[in-house]
Amino acid sequence: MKIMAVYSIKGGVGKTAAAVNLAYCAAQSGMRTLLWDFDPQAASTFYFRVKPKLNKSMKKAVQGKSDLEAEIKATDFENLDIIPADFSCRNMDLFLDAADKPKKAVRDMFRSVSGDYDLAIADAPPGITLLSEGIMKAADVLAVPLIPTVLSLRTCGMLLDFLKENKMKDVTTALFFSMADRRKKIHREVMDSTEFEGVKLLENHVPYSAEVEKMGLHRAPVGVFSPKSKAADAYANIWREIVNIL
Amino acid sequence: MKNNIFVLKSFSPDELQSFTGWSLGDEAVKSGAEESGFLLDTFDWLLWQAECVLFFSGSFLRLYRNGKTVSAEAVSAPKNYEDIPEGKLRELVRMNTSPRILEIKAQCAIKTDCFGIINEDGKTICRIRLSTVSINDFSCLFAELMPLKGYDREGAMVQAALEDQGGKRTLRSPIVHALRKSGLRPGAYSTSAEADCAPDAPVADVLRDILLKLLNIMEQNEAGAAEGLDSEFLHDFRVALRRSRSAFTMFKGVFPPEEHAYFRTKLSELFSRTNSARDLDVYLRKIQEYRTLLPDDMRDDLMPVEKYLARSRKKEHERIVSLLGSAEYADLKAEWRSFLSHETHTEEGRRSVRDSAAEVIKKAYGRIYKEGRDLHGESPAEEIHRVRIGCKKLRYALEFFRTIFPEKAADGVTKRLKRLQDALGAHQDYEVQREKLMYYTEEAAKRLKKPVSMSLASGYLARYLDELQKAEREKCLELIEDFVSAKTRGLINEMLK
Repeated sequence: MKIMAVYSIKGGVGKTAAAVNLAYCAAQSGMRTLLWDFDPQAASTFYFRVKPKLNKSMKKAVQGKSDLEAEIKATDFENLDIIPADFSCRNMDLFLDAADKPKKAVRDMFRSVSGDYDLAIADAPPGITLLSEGIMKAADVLAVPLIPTVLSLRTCGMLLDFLKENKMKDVTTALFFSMADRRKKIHREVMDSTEFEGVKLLENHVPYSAEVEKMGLHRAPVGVFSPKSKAADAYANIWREIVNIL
Repeated sequence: MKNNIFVLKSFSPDELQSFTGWSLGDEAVKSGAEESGFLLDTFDWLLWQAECVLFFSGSFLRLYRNGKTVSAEAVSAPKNYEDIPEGKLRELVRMNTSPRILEIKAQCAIKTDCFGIINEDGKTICRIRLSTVSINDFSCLFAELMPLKGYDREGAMVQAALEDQGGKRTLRSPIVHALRKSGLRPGAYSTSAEADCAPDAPVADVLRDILLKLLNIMEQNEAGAAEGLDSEFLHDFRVALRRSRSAFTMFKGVFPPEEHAYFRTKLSELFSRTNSARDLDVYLRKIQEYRTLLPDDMRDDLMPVEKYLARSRKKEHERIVSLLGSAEYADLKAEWRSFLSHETHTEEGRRSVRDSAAEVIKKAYGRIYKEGRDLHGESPAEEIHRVRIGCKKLRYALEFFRTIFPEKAADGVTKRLKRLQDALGAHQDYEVQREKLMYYTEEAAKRLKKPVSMSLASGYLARYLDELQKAEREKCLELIEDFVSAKTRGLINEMLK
């Protein structure tokens, strides 16, 4: 099973929308896909109309004592299951801190559910935490949405430095512009001039789109309620690029 | 939680909704699919017996088996497994039907709708596939409950709602279930001719009943054998005839000597007139296996033999057609039926079937015992063959009178006998195949200018068959030893006591 983490240090960059839509694209392409909502805000879980958990299963999961398989829920779409967000996720760092090998614990959690899936997509919470570090360590691909602004570039630089400092060579980073609005001068300039040394910047980007915002209304991936929209196309194209990296 | 299938009298979405509190989602309703076509099976319903149903729609074939389906493209109904494209479906049909042909058994239509059951969040928590299967004039409604991962509790609730609507769970695929309830009766053809009587019934009456059943089986296979649809029609015809001859001969004193001698000769003559056709049927099938046993560069060298066999089979088939259509055959059948319909028997024919059958079984086993215990590694093939003939007679007697004797002991004997017969049959087959191969090769060689390569290929095969026969002989001797052992004798005594 391959693991892809959708992650950004900064919040509000379209991370959950990307995780949900890329998971949908992967499942549509025939890959048996598991989306794992690590974000206690439970937005991915909400988009799939699944109820979030209120128990403390994550503590036991970190300790390797809980049956994560039992936490999995089918979505309404073929090949796509989800581990819904658990409010106990907000204390993940405490649980991991108490574990012997916190980063390995995250990898082991993924391994315990790897049998039935070709791909796991982690919707990681923002910020650099023990959990996000563990997810980055476990991942084969780190998909990073990036709003084309100076501030976003700065936090992206911080992330790349962090990866380098922590010698995370096994994970391939794939950056892509998100919520991009080419009518804005700053977006155009950043998109046209930015280059990252030694890191892949995907050719396709997610445009700023009302369709993406409507996901909350429809509680479904864009491809379901607006399959011909630019946003749906964008996620499909980004998915095609990521498949080549996986 | 696994998918479960329920047979329903009717389906009410409203009742389901009021029972569970959830709704049938309009968005989730998939447009109903409708398929119509035919169900295919062999003359004797071999697919039915293997719990399979083969559906042909006009553009595809689908085999339903153990709740799973396998499909293949097909623009016309296959006549036999060879007409099906290479793949799993062809292999399954071959395994269960070869060498029989497939025929249309019934018209069939399947209408399917798929619904999602939606909870208060608008989330699908399970799905239901509703299907109506119509076979000829019969219709049956099914609901397949397909629970979703992580929603077992909800799935159980929907299951309870279906049961509340009178749903009865079935482990079979809807089409397999519907076929069994459709009123079609595959059991109408059976090669079984068991005695259906009390143990103290007069043996002559029971024998006549068995022989009439066998005559009916012969008649059921006449048309197929004459049309040459597949080799099994002639085979079943011959088996019924051989069993008739065997039953008639084993109970020699039951019928008046004159009639006994007359029909015995007539039945034997009739049987021998079908020998060549059957031999050629078997050989035409075998020759395909032989090709694979030969080294690559010799595989085509047997072609002249194959051609000879095909030509000869055609001629033999013409003989079978003329035999089965002849006045002579019709007269013999009429005489035989008339004889079996009248109470013409001797004093011995009034004995109880139990006593007579026990005597016949004892005698048949005694013969196997006497001839079998003397066999050794160097015994001629004919002696082993004689034991085989004795085994056949015993087997027929055990089958005819299975219901009269204690089941457990009878089954124990039959099981051992069957194992022995398989080995003896294989041993004799190798013997006959080798002889026939040489005969057919010689015959084919008469038409060739350069028969050397063909003769070499046949010689190679004959040696190979010899090796196989030697290995089988070891097995035969071991099984014969077991069959004449005190343990088997004990089982026979227990059965007949």
